[in-house]
Amino acid sequence: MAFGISIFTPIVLLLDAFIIGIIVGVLAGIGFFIYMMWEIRRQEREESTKTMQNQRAYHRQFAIAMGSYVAILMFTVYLLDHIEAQPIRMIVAILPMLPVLYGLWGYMEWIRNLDELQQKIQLEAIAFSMGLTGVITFTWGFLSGVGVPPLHAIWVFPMMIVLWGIGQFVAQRRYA
Amino acid sequence: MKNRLKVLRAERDWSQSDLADHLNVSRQTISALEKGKYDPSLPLAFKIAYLFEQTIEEIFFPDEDDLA
Repeated sequence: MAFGISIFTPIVLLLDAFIIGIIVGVLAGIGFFIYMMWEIRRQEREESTKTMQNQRAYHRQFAIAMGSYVAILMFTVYLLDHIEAQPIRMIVAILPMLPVLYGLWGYMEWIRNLDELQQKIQLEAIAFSMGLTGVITFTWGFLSGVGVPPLHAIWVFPMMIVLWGIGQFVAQRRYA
Repeated sequence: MKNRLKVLRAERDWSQSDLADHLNVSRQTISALEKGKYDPSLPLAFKIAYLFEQTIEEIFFPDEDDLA
């Protein structure tokens, strides 16, 4: 019996859903990262120097921000399991926002360094995103008044990002 | 607005990103300018004129409805 377990333990461990989940997640992450790098390099080959430098600086700052965000978020989850005192818990809970602020700074630099047409495209995309987010959240707000479950504030930002992406796609096409 | 950017660029045998580098803008902006889908700011128009050693009027021409 003990012999059987020692032979099959590694297989059993491999088949554990949790471990498979982590492996699949990590592999998908690596695959996505390689694809992103490949796509960025491909675009850079035909871009102008100004755009290339601006994109590179933005990608670097954003990668640092997102990397630290994930690391700090995992650390935060661990800390929140071990800290009881309320004011400290609140400070710990918002720690992941520090790298997000750094990412925001990188984003602002990127916007400032775009050329005049790119800034116009961003203005149209951001206006689209801001306006439609307002329409959606207000509509949802009125619906909450008649029994629809309220929209959690944490979903507003992802909504803006998705709409910003759609807005960019539409605005890019106008000038292509 | 119409312009002679594509011709001027071809005369120098530049790619769109070459011209973009000379003007310190994106390739996308050159492409939009050449297709007449975007009118440059006055400073960019002067930069283009200076680069090709011509006046703005020799490079850019208004459409009739631009003047109406």
